[in-house]
Amino acid sequence: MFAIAKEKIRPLITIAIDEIEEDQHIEIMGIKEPFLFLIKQEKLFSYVNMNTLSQGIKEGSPLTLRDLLNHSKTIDSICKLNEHISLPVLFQIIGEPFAIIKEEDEKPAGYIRREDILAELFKQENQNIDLLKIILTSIPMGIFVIDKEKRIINYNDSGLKMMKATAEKVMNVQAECIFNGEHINNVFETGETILNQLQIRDETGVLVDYSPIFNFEQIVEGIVIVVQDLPMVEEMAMEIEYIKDLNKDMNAILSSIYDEILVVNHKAELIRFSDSVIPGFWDTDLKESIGKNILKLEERALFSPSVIRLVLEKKKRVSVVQETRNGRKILAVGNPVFNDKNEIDRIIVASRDITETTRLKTELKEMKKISEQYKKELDDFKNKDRFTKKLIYRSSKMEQIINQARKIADFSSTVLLYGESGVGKEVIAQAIHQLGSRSSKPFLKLNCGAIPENLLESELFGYTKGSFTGADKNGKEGYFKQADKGVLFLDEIGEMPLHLQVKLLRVLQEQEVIPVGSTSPIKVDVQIIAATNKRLEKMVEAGSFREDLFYRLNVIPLHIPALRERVEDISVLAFHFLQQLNYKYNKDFNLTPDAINVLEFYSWPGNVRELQNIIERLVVSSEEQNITSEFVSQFLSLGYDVKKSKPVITRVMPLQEAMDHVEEQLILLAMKQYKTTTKAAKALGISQSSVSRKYQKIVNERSININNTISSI
Amino acid sequence: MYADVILSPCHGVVEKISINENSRFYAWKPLFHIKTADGRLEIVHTCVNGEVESLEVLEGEHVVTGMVLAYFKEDLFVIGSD
Repeated sequence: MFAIAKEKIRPLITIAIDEIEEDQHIEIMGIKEPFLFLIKQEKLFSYVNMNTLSQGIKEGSPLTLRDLLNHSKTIDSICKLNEHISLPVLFQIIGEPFAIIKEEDEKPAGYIRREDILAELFKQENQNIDLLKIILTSIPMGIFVIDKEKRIINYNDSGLKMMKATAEKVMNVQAECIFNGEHINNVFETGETILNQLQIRDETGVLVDYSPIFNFEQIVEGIVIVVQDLPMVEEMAMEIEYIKDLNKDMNAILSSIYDEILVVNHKAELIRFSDSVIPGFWDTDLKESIGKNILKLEERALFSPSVIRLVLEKKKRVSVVQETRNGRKILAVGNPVFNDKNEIDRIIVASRDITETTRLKTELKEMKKISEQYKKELDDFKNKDRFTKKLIYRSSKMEQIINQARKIADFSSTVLLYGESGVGKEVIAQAIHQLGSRSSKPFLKLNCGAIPENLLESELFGYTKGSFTGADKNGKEGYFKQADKGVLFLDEIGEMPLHLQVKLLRVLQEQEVIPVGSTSPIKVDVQIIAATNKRLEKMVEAGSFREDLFYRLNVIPLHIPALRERVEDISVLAFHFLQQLNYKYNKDFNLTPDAINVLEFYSWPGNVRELQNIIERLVVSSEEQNITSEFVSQFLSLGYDVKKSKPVITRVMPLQEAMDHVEEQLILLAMKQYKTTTKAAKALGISQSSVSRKYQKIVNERSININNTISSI
Repeated sequence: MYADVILSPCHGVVEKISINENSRFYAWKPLFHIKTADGRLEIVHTCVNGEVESLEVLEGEHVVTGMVLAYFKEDLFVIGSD
C-alpha cells in the first residue's frame, strides 16, 4: 500500500455533452492535458486521447461532437483509485493509459498518468516493491524472458516449478536447451507469436506460447515464453513416453523373434512394418510403400506364394513357406485381426528366414543318420571283437578254423563240427552264432547224448497239451521253436536215435516241426550246428547213422584239430586259463617257461578241457606263486605217458620232421631228468657235445616262442 | 517360435487328414491326402517321427504349394528306422 503524491494528480478537463448537438463545433485548442473527459447527465462516461484525436482529424477542419464521440473510449475499464493504492490494483493501471483518482465521496478528483504512477511506484525505495517481480510471480503461468542472444534473462517461480528446474539451471542458459529452438528462431525471424505448443519431455508436459518483444523499430529484441502447466497433459505425456518405451521394447522383442513384421489393413494397404526387414525380400523400400496396396507389391516381389491374399481369401490364420528367387526360405504367418462386425480389420504378417534352420536341420538329420550307422557298426565290431578275443589260439590251424567260422557266420548253412572230445566244438559253434546275423537271436544247445531217448523227441519238437502223462498241461515249445531265427547246437549228434534222425531230417528239409501229439507242422527258421566226436561216415557204414541225414548235416564240415596237433596253442591257452583263475581268486600264480615246456610235451588226450582242468588243479595245489616244471610233471604223469606209449604221430609227415620232433622231446626230457649234458648224453647214448649243441638250439627256439606268447597275451 | 512344418507339395484340395492336434505320427505314414486339379492324389508324409503341434488346414480346404499344413515337433530320440 502506498500513497500518491498530490502534485501528480492532474485535473479532469471535462465537456458536458447533454446540450451539445452532434454537428456542433467544439473548440479545444486551449487544452494542454493529454486526455479530455466527457460528461453526460453529470457522470463521467468516456475520455478522448488528445494525441489520437489530433491524428484522426484533418488539420484546419472544425471539430464536432461526433468527432469527439468517435474518438472517445469508455471510462468503465479505467481504474478508479483512492489516494492510497494496493498492489493488485497496479495490474489494472498497467492495462490503461491513466487512472482516475476519486475522493472519499467517490467523486472523481482528477487523474494520474500511468507513467507517473509507475514512476511513483519505483520511487517507493523503502517498501521493497519490485513491481516487475510482483507481476511475474503473480501470474499463474510460467514466464521466461529471452534476450537477443536467446538466453534466459528472467523467469518466475511458477516457470521453474513447471519446468522442474532450478534458478541456476535456467538463468543465462540458452533457451534452446529448455524450449523448442526451432520455435524460438521462428519468432525471432518472423516476429509472429506461436501459441499452444505442446512440449513433452521425460519429466514434464507443458503448453508453451512464444511471444516476441519488439523494440521501437518493430524489431524483435527478445521473446516472452509463457508456460502453462497442465497436469493432464503431463500425465498424458508420461503415458505417451511409457507407450513409446513399450513400443520400442516390443519392436526389439518382435524383431528378435521375427525377422520382419508387416501390418496391413483390410484393403491390404501397408500400415506399418518392423524396424528390421528381410534383405532381398522386397524390390522396393517399404517406407515408400506405406499406404500402398501390398498385394501389388507382392506380385512384383521376389517370392511366392502370397500370404496376405490367402488370409483375405480364407479369413483365418495362414502360414506359408515362401521361397525367394535366391533360394531363401521364409516362413510367413498371416494373422487376421477382426473388427466388431467380424470383418478383417488388419492382417499382421510375421516372417522368419528359416533357410539356415532348414539347412542345419537337414544337416543334423544326415549327421544323425551317419552317426547311428557308425554306432551300429562300432557295436558290431565291438561285439565281434569281444567275442573273437575269447577265442584263444595261436596256431595257424585254429586260425584257419576261425576264418572259416567267420565266413560261415554270414550264411545260415548247416554246419557239422567234428573233432575229439574237449577240442572246443561248442566254442566254435558259439563263434559262428556270435559272428553272424543271428547273434541277437537265441543260441540253444542240446546234448543229444545227455537226454534220455524217449524225452529227446519232445525236447526237440515240443508237444501239444495232453500229449502224454506227466507232460506240462499247457504243452511245451520244442528246442526248434525256441531257437526260431537263431541257432540250434546239437552236440553229440552221433548219439541221436535212428527214429529221431528221420524226424530231424524232415525238419532240416522242410524247415518245419510237428510237435508230439500234433498233426499240424510249425514253420521254423533255425540254423543247425551239429557236433560229434565220432566218425559219422563209419557209423553210416555200420548203419547206426542215417546216410541221408549225414549228407544233410555235412553241408559245411569243420574239423577241429586235437590240442596235441596244435602245440602252439597250449601255452596261450594255459596262460589264459591261469589268468582267469588268478582273476577269479585274486591270486597271482605264474607258469615258468619250463612248466610251459612240460605242458607242451603232454599229449592232452582230453584236449582243451583237460588243459583247463589241469591248470585249475595246479593253481589249487601250488604252494608257491611260480608253478615250476617239476610241479607240473607231478600232475601230468609224463613218465607213465612216456613209458607206456610210443611217440604218437597222427598224420603222415616227412620222416625228418618226425625224427626232429622226437629228438627234441628226448633231449629235453633227458636234460630235465639228469640236469647235466654229460648224464643226459649217457642216457641217450650220444655224445655230450651233441646233447649240448642240440639242447642249446632247442632252448633258444623255445624261449623265442615263449616270449612271443607272452607279448601276444 | 519356429517349429517344423509340413508343407503342401501342390495346389489342390485337402481330401483327408489322418492326424489330430497333439497326436503322434510316424515317418512315412500318410498324413494328408491332397487332390490336385488334374485329379491326382498327392499323399503327404514326413521322413521323421514327431508330435503335431497344430493343424493349419481343414478337410475340404483349398491349399497352394508351400502352404503350411501343420506344425510339428520332431522326436529327439530315434525309435526305429527304415
